[in-house]
Amino acid sequence: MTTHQNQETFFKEIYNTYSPKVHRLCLGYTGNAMEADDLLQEVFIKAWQNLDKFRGDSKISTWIYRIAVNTCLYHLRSQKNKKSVDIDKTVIGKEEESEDKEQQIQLLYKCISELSESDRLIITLLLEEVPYAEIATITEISEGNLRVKIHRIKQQLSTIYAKYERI
Amino acid sequence: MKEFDHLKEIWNQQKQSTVPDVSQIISKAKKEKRSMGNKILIQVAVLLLSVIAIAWVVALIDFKMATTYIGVGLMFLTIFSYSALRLYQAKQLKAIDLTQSPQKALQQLEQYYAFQQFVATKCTLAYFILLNLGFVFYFIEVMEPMPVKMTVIFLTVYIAWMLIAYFILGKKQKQKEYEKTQSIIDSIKKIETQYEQE
Repeated sequence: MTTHQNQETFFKEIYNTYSPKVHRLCLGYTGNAMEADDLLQEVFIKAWQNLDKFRGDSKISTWIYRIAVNTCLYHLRSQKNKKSVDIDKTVIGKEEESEDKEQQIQLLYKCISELSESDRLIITLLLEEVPYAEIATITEISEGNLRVKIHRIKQQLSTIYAKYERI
Repeated sequence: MKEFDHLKEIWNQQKQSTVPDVSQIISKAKKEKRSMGNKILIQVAVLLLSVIAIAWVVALIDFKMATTYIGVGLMFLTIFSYSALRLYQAKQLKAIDLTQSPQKALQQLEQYYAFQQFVATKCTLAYFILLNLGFVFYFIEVMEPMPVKMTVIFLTVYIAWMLIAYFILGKKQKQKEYEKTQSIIDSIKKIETQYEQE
């Protein structure tokens, strides 16, 4: 197998393992399926272009999540006015509208969208069950600071969710 | 207050994401790399062509006045410098490393946009002024044999157009560019602050 073929095989493995996770991260960040699709493609295009930079010093998940976090932040510079998620617009069809489960998910997206950009990414990583130590490496925030931050974000998110649930 | 565990349960209820096929991503990535390379090649080609075109005009016509050479030289330098600047910007954008920490990536991005703002406002203004100054020097000899009436008409139209281009179109465009880049820089700074807190 040539180096190029090896690279493609390696990339395919990464893509198959992490694309659903990265897609959910993007979805949590944008709250919009179409934007999340675009972001997912951007993340993996960047990963492909930077594949030679991956030396195995960190876990592959850390590396790919870091690209995802940076791509999300990079994307937001031109999307800041679209930050707020409109529940009515994000619900896809009438059938789904009636589904309580779907509405709860959409409500959760809306609540996440009300957090600051960096908090949105941290909480989405946490919801994806990425370990604290790995989130700390991805975001380059010390683990101690991260714990404090996460505690605050959890409280903030729960409060926002409860507020909307009462409406 | 809703417990976070409950939110986690909701999060886990999401449907499995449908993602595009990996071959689609690979072909898109390769295409993007090619198109970036082509963009840079086109810019270099424009740069070289402008140099050749100016050299050709100077070699073809036997100019008598020094002002003409100053004008042509100024035009050449202006076009060359501006194209080189654009080329540098394309390379700078390509060099932004999204595999590093968010803080460093944001810093790089901020620097890129600060430079973009400088180019789009101050450098573009300098480009406009210097290029027109070059034309003024060039016209001194070119217009010398023309009748006075013709010269006056030509200069009036030329100056009027330049004033419109600068004061109406240019200023609006400059303001738009400034606001656009400033809003990007502001949002990057805001995110940088979020990382600095705590």
